[in-house]
Amino acid sequence: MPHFIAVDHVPCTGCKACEVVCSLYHFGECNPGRSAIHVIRKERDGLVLCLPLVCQQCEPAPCIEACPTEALSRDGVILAIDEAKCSACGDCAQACPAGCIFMDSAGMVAICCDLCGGQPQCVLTCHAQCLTEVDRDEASQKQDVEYLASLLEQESLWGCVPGKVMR
Amino acid sequence: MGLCARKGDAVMAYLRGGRILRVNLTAGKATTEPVEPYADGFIGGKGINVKLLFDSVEPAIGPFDAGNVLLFGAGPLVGTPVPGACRVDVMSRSPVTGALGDAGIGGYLGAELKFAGYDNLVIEGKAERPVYLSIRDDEVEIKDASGIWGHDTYETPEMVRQDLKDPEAAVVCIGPAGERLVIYASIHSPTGNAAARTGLGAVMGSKRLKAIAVRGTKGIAIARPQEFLAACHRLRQSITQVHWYQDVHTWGLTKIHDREMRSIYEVMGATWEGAETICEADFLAKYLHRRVGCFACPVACFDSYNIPQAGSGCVKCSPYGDLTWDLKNPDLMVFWEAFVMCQRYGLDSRSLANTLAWLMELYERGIITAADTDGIPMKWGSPQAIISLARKISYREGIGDLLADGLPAAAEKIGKGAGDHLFMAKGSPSDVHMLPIKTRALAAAVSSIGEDAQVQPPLDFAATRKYIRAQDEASFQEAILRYKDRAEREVGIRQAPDPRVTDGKAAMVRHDEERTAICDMSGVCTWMTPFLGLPVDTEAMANLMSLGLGTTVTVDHLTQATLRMQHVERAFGARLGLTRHHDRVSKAYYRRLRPGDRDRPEIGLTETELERMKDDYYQLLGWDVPTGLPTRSTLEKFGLSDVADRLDV
Repeated sequence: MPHFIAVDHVPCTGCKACEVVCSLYHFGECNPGRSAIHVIRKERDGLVLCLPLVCQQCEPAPCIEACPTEALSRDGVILAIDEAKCSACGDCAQACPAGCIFMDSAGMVAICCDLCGGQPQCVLTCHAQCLTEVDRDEASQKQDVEYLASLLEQESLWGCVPGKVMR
Repeated sequence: MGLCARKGDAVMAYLRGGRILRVNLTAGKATTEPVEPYADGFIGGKGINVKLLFDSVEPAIGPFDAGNVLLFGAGPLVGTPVPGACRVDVMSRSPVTGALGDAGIGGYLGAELKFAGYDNLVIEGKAERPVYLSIRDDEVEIKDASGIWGHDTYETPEMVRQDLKDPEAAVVCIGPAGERLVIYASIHSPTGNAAARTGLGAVMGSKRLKAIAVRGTKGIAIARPQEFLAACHRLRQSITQVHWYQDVHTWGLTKIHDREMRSIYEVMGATWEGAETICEADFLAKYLHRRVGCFACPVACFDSYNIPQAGSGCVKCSPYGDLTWDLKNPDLMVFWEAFVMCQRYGLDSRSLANTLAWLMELYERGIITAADTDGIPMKWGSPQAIISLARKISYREGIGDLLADGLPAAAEKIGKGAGDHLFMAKGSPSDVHMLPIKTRALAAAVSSIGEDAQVQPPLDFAATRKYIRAQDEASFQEAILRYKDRAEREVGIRQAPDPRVTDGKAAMVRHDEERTAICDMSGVCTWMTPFLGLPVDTEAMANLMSLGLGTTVTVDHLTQATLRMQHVERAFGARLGLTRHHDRVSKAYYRRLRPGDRDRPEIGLTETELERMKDDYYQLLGWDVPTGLPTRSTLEKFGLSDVADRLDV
């Protein structure tokens, strides 16, 4: 059953702890630039709108289809990357409707969510309960990549999506 | 060695950005140096800032001189998932105290600085024209800000980000108040954080530095990442299990603060008609936009509001009470309107409240009239007075021009004994609701910056409340039994919480100073500590530093470092001529407590009692008791013979 991390952005306080634990778990360092989750913080008029972006494990996956080097595939039910094949062209981030795949700031490679092999560290860390691990079949319509994309559109946040800015 | 363990041959040090960035605005140049020489002895944040300030600002250099420096320090835990590891210590020679200026700021600046590879930022010199500073990893640029100058702290970050084409750079800036050198101007983030006290925004304005924008992509190396991560998870878990956590997560601090203000006013015996209608929690329930928090913070104590006509912004804790209770203003909407103005203009809202409370007292006593304040009567609780002064002071309009130079200067100009009603220490005004009980008065008197809202030993305040409610001595003693047990554990003096005695008060102040000092050095918010029942104590921080650095950091090492920092802080003041004589609170501090409309002098303090507590305090710190100066032997014991030489002791 395909799992993914569903996002409820409303209670998000924008703390970015999810970003640093992701990089700490996978790379042994604290670095939001090396994370598979990105929290947009759009600050305006003394207020802030926060929106976490993380892979929604789409099926079919536009990122896999867009990858020109066949670096992306499904490892069983989870998106996987063959780093040797990845050319960091950014086509996957462009293809993702909500830009939920990111480029590693330390190397020429894409970073995608692997659900930490079973216990996603971001879900464990999030104090605001914005992130929940769910099965695709249980997911409400609200919980998918198109929903995240609609929020980006609605709140004019495209300029804050790393993969979209790059190009 | 020690607190700056290196990762192989790489430049990057574990837990550290690794470098101090110096930007000279006069020369238009930036240089870096390794942080390593400071790391072991001074840990980071405020610790390193104090040493940098002591080493670079000679007594002849005034707060607004080009030779003054503006320092930003992010401690070793900043940028990691340690709960609340977001704090940046900001320091300079202060236009408010004339000596040390120091304030902390949360938000996202510290983490970005660390990710960009810097632990400390030193701003030197003075630009000819308005500029802002852009830091993107190794790329440091001083950029023209003439088109941004004049804009408020909500508009400025947006303009800077547009100029940089980086919508998510962490930005701090000053508003019109800082540009005009209003001496209690502050430095602001776009979402409610501020290095608020001691006039650091005015120092930034004097350097014509409008904003600092930081973006880092380098990351922070952790020696034992999986154990470090597990330790963070454990702390977060235990925070969420604290009994009031869910309450705070829903209500912010409003419920706690509602109770706190009622208790304080009960002890002061100063409640007023209408005060009972003030309810922050109701205001929040009606208007909350959403909860907002700092980097890596599981508490998220900021409440944000977006109220048509009154304005939008983020707030926590103290300003609610400062602009209502302390001004006899029962209308929280007036608080909100004035607070948003302070945010936009870059003015410390507490200092505004302190100023207003003083003027209202003077008006009530007939010392000033409406003619002295541009025709606006400074009546207690007057919305017109509150709102108009927020603007006038920030823009130095009319009476605001005088008030912008600080309250001691204004008192001198007004004369007629106006200064006798100033409630302050070290030239820095105190809140009306800062209780003049023994520990608080001692803490304010000996602090380098006057009243420090972070240093609030909790036990004698709690015991004071029991005292005024107790039927007799026996029931009072019974009621404070557990405070005595805790005092015995923490400072070894059982009667310390008794509000009537001076015994143990110095030790309680020092104990609380140590708690906040470790936070200010490591970069963890003090609210994560046992002060509010949360678990990030010194032991937890020592453990996290050990795992992060891959070398053992002991509690004793951190405790010693807090003392070392305090010695240098003291030495900085001493070089400016500050001695025991300056460690005092203003005349208005004394005899203000009348709980239940009864004079209870025993729970307040006298000058003799303050002097006795100072003796105890200096002895604890190893300073010369008659002068309050650090001694050579103490300085040398802490490896500070260079400080002793410059101090000439």
